[in-house]
Amino acid sequence: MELLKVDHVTMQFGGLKAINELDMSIEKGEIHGLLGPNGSGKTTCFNVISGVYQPTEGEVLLEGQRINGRQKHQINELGIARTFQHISLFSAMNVLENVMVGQHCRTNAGIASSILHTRSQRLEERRMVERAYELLDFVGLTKRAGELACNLPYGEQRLLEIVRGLASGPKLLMLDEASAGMNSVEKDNLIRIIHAISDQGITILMIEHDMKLAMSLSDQITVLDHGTKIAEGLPQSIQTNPQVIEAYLGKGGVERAKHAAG
Amino acid sequence: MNRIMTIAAGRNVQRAAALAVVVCTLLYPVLFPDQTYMHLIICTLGIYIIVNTGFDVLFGYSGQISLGQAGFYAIGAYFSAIFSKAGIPVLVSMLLAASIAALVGFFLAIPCSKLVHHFLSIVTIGFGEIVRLLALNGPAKLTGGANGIGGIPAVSLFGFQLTSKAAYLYFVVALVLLALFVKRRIVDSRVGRAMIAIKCNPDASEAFGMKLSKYKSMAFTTAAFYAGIGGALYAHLVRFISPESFSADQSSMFLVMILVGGMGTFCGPIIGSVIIIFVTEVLQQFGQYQMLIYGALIIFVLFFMPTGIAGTIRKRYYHLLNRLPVRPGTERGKDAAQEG
Amino acid sequence: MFGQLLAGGIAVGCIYALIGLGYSLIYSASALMSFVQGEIFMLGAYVAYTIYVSFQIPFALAVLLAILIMFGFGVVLQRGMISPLLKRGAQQIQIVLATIGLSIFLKNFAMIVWGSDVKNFPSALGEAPIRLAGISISPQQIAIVITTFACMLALHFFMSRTKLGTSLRAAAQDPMAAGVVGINVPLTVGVAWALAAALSAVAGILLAPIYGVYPKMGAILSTKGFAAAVLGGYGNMYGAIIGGLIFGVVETMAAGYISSSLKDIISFGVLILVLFVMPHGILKVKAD
Repeated sequence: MELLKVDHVTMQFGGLKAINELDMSIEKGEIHGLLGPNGSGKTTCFNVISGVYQPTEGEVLLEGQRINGRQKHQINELGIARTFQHISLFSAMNVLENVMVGQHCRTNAGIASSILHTRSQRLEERRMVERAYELLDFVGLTKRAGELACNLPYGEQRLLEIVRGLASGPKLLMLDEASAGMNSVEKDNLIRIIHAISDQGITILMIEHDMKLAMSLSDQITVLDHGTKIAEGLPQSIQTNPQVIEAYLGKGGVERAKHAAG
Repeated sequence: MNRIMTIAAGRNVQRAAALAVVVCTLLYPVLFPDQTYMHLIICTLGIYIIVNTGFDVLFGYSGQISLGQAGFYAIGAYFSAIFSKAGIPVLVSMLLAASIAALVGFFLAIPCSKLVHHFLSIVTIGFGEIVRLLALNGPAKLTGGANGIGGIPAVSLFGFQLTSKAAYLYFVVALVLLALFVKRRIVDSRVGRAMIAIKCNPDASEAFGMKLSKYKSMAFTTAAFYAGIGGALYAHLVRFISPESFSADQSSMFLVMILVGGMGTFCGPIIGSVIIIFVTEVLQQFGQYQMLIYGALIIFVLFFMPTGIAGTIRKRYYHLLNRLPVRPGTERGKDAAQEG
Repeated sequence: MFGQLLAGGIAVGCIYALIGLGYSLIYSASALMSFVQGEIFMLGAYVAYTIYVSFQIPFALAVLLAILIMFGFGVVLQRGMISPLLKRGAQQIQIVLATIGLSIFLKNFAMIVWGSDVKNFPSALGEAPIRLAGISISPQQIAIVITTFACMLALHFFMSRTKLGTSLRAAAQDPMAAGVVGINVPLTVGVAWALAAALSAVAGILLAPIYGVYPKMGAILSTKGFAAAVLGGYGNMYGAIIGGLIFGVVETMAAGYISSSLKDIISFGVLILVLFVMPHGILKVKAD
């Protein structure tokens, strides 16, 4: 069953076509990799899906419903959460609070009920705290709960961003280079976590630069180059696709790779 | 210092300290009934604490710079004066005036939520100026023009006229406590967290379901209401108001107070108000040099404590002072008792 | 009447433009807001007054000295206060507050040193109004407009044709990249603050013969110059000029056609409305 459809989307900034007539379909429950060299439009694609940009042409459909044109916070409510290429945690708040804020779209206490400390508000707060702790358990960050988010080591900040994304109870979780800057131990941990998230039924769309990670995790992969889709399919077919290799290594690189392979 | 902070972080210690401060303040007029000037100072301090507490929600929590809080302060003062002189009971006038301030704040806030940094600051500066100018140049019968409004009625509480500064002090203290209490409730909630998130990272906030304009205008309206109450309290304290009291200098004084005290903290607005009032009172003996030293002092404080006193302390001792919500279920007995 | 008001508005607008220009320079070079430009304006007028009137130095030389002194003041301000504060982790709002503190200090400093009375600054151009196309303009107003445009041209030339000016623009756009290619970024920031101070001083010297010199002369100008800069799209030099002229003309027209006492309400009201419709100012420089 199709969860997300990027339907013939073009994203143009003045003279620059960041995304060129992209068609991409994400199946429910799958782990979908989005690959491509730097500047190929991957993060722009995320930005179009999450509502930061309105596509110049084309549509984005979530479960058949059009979501492009909606406001960013509405898209989160509809079930799409994301992490960011550059860590975007809430620096003035601690780890627990960051996860609680992630739950914003699934909660609804307003200013009046907060001032009056109504029973439903108190219960909701308790639930939020409880769920936040559960989520921290999930990635092993519970002991960090009271620390300021910006004081965490880099790898843990990336995990916290993922957990914040989970907190919003998404149907689709978009990870933007979640493994960037991680060492191999952290990456193994990340693989386990991503598998566990997928086992919960959450669909994952991930931008990755780590080929090995992307290949081992993804059910399907879409490859972009200069805003255009150049390949799509199972990891094995992507690995040997000459266009993909050329996009990453350049024409000369392909020759050298052939030479090196003997 | 660590030890002091650990003790200070204790909930009971904090409650005891707060109680001590309140009791001392309430006892002061009883022990020193003739010091009416000090009573006036304490009342003024209380008024500033109220205004700055609201201002902190706007600036310290949701990160919106306003250099025009004196405008809301003026609206509260003038409308309460006008309404009460027209015969409306004083307490009702005050509430109405503050509500008008809040309403103005609300209507200003929505377009302002799209503005950032200096765009927002010039709009708030302009707003403050416009309010002052309207008070100065508005219909003289209504605003009194440059002469202001005199003979403002005193607050009448359960039949008592609060004409003496001492009596007013009790009234102000009660309202200060209420104001602080409400602010606490606002910031320690889902709404407060949203405001902080928006201050830290507006883009990420929107990606997580927070509508910027909603929470920004909530903070703005709150700050406007608090400033309006403060203005109304001021009007019925000194019982004479004129446009001079509501200039840009007043707005910048509020800013100085919350910056010196520390933004985004509970005690910050209180500490800042106390310090600045203390400093301006002490400096009065220097006559001409008073404002000179005041200006230099501001720069001096910024050099050594850019995040304000409370802010600097909170940052350094965060792990000691920050109270993490207990994991529900880990203290079974307590939880059951609370729920029952 | 329209022409008369327009001429007056342009003259006033030029003053706002000069101060607004200073704000924009500072913002583009250091991403900071300065709330002390009005007091620098005032100080510039006082310094010129002291040299010209008290020391009886010839006008041209006195003005030149005053501008140089205020240029130096700008350097001292940036090196002595702004830079150290930034090194201590001050954010934009703390710098704003520091400049507010400085403005309070300077205002009262002037009161103590020179007194609160209005000092008469004799015009070097005489008082006789000139009639031009049915409009009566004072020589000083003409001097204001000519000087302002001369400053703008000089600044434009400086920014686009000189090495220092180009470095300033580069450093303003991307301090890190500029540093990497060998541009002395701290120097360009210092120059920007110094130029802003010099421009404010020029404005002060231009206005002094009309209204005299007194400690509070800068206060409202801080705000209006800032408004001019923001209106035009903060951080954009040409925007500040356009913003200043628009603000000056709107204000003068409002005073002439509607009411003198309501002119500030109207001009600020127009400013607020414009910003509500165009949240990034008229010339759309993103406020980052």
